[in-house]
Amino acid sequence: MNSHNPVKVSSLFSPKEVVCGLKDCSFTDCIRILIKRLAKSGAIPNADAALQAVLKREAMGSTIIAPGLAVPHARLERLQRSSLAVATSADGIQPSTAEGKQVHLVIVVLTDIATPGEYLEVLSSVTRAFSEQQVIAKVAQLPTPEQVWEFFDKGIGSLPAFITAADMMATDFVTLRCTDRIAKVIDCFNRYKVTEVPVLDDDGDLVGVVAEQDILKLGLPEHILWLEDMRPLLRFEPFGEILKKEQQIYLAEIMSDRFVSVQERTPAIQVARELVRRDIKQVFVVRGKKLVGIITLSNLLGRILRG
Amino acid sequence: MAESSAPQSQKLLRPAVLMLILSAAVAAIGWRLGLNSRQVLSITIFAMLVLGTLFFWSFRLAIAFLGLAALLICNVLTIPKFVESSSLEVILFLVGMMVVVGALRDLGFFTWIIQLIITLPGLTGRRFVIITALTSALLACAVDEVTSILFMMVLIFQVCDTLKLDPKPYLIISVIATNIGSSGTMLGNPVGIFIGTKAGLSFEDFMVWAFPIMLVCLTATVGVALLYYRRQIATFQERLQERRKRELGLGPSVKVAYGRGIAVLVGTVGLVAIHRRLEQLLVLPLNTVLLMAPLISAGLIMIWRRDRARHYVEDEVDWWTLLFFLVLFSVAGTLGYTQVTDRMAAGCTAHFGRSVAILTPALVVITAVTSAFIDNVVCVAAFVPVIKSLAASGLHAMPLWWALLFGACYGGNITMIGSTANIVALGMLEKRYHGHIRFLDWLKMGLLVGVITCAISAGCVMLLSRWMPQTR
Repeated sequence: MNSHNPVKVSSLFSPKEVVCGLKDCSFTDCIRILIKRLAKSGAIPNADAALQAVLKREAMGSTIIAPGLAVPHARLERLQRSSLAVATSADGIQPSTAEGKQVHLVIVVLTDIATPGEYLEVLSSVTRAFSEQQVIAKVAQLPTPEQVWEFFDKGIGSLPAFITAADMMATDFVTLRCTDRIAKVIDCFNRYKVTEVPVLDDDGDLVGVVAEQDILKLGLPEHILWLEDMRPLLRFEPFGEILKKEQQIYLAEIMSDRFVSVQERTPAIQVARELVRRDIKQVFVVRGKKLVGIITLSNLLGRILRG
Repeated sequence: MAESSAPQSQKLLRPAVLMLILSAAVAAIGWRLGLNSRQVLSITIFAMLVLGTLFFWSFRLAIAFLGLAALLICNVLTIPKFVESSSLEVILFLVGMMVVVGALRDLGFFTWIIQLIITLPGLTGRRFVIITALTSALLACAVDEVTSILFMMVLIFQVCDTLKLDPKPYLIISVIATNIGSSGTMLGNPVGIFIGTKAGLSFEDFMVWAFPIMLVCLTATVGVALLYYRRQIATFQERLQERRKRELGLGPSVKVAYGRGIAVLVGTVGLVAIHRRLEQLLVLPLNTVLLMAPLISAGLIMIWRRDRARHYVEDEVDWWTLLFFLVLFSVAGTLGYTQVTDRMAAGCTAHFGRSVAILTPALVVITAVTSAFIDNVVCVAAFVPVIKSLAASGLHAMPLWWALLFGACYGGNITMIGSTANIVALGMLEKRYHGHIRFLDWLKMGLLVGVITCAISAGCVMLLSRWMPQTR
C-alpha cells in the first residue's frame, strides 16, 4: 500500500494542451477549447462526446475545488489513458453556476470509465498542490504553456498510490461539545438539517456522537412505546418535559460513544467497507483523536461514481 | 457464500462428533448396566437431546424432532404414548400465559410498573437494587421468568442510560432475582407448572411451601448483591443525586390507564390461586382449573381485543420454545415407559439410601449443577419420572419435588447460560450495547448466590419436610 504510483501528473498532458491568458471567455467555451486541444493531440477519440459528458457533469454540480480553481471532468468509454488540459486566466473566467466566483485556473480531466479511481487521484494531487491561494494566482500569471507544464512537472509530482480518507472527507461540518445543553442540540438539528452530529470534549477530541433518534428516545423511551393506546401521547405529552428541562440536560448524558472513526491515511476503500459492513451512514476522520473531517455515505458514493 | 459456510460447517463438526461420541458412551454404559435395547435407545436419544441443547442451542428443536421420530420409528414410543406424555396441558397453559402477557404489555401494565419505579420519590442506589430484585422476582411469580426479565431489562437500560452507568451489575442482580422468584409459584417457570402437574401439587402448595423459601433466598441474595456491588451502587447514588440537584428525573412519565391491565392480571392469577377450591367445588380432577385458567383469560382477552387476537397468538407466543418443550416432555416420558427411571430410582436409593435428609440436598446439588449448564426444563424432565418412581416406592416425595424445583431454578444462576432468562438478558445487552459479560465475571456472583440459595432452600426443605403432606 505504501508503494508510490509511478504516473506523474505532468505525463498526462503536454504544453500543447495548455492555454495561457484566456480573456473574455465563458466557462463553457474554456472547456470546449481545452477539449479541442485534447482531440487534436489524439488523446480523446470524440471531442463532441467528451464535451457533452463534461457539461453534463457540470450541470450536476460545481467542480470548483478551491477558490479560483475548477476541475471539470468526465469519465469516458474506451479512453486509452487519462488526459489533462489546462487553461489559465489572469483576468478570470465566470463559471457556469451563477453563484460561483471567477476562476483563474481550469484543469479539464478526462479518465477512462474503467478506472474510477484515477480522476480522484488526479484531484487529490491537484488539491494538495494548490492548497494555498497564492499558488493558483502564481500559475495563472505564468506566460507560457511550457512554464505551466513545468510547474505541474515539478510542483505536483506523481499521482498518489491510493485515495485516502483525507481525500474524500468534507472539512466543513458542524460539531457540538459534551458540555452543551440539549437545547443547543435540538437547535443544531433543526438549523443544519443533519441527522447525526459529532461531539467533542474540552480538548477538541472526538468523544461521541448524537443523533436525532437520541432526542426522540428521550421523549419516547421503549417502555412508553409498548402502549398500544396512544391517547396519553396524542398531544406529545412526554416532550413537554424535554422542553422544560432542555437547559438542564447536558449533551454528555444522551450522546452515544459508539461511532466509527478512521485516520486520515486510511485508504478510502476501507472507509467504504466500514460503511457497508457496519451499516452506518458516516465515518469520522481523525488526526490522533482530533476530528478533521467527515465522510458520509452519499458523499463517498457520489465521489466514486460521479466524481 | 461457499467460502463462509465452510468454516461454519467445520465449527459445527467438532461438537457434533463430540455429541455422537458422548451419546454412544451413554449407550455403552446402558448396555453394561444390563439395560434392554429399548431402554438403551431411549436414554441415548435423551442424552442426544441434552447434549444438543448444550452444544447446538439454535438446533435444539431440530434435534428434538429427529429424536422423537427415531423413538417412534424404532417403536420405543407409540403415538398414543407420545400424546399422553407430551404434557399438552402444560403447553396450553404456557400459550395462555403468553397471550395474557401480550395483552398486559398492550394495556400499559408494564409501562406503569416501570414508571412507578423511575418516578419513585426517595429512590436511592440501594433502594433501586432492592426494588429491582423484588420486582423481578414478583413479576416472575406473577407471569414468568422470561417475561419478567424482558421488562426489567428495559427498566435497567433506561435508568443506566440516563445515569450513564454500566448496566451489567443491575442486569445480573435482576436475572438472579428473576430465577429465584420463578420458584415462588407455578406461574414462575415452565419447570414449576411441569413439576406441579406431575407431582399433583396445587398453587396453594406452592404458596405454602415454595413461596416463603423463595422469599428467604431472595432476601439473602439482595444482601449479597448490596455488598458485592457496593461500589457500583455508590456511583449510582452519586449520579442520581447530581441529577436530582438539577431537578431531573430518570425518564418521562405519561398517564397510563393501568386499571384494565391490573384487572387482567389479578383475574388470571386469582383464578389460578383459587383453582383447588373451584376443583373441589365442581368435583373436577386436580389442576383442571389451574391449567385452564390462563386459557380462560386468554380466550376472553381475544374476544375483547379481537383486532389484536391474531397478533397475540402469532407474535407473543414463543412457539419455537413450546414445541421444543412438547417434544422434550415426550422423549423424557419414554424413560418412564421403558422403566429406565425405575432403574435410576433404584440406583439413587442404593447410593443415597431412602433418607429424605440425604436425598433432598443430594437432589438440590445434582439438579443445580446440571441446570447450571443445560436448560433447566431438560434437567427437570429427566428427574420427574425418577422422583415419580421413588414416590411410587412409598418414599415421602414432596420434599424431593421442592428440592428438584429449587435446584433447577437456583442452579440456573450459577453460569450465564444456566437459564433462559440469563440468555435473553445477555442477548438484549449485546444487541443494545454491543457488549457482553465475561463467563468468570458472572460465575463469581452466580456461584456465590447459587451456593447460598441452594444451601438455604435445601435446609428449609429438610427442616419443613416433617410437616409436608404426602403428594397426591
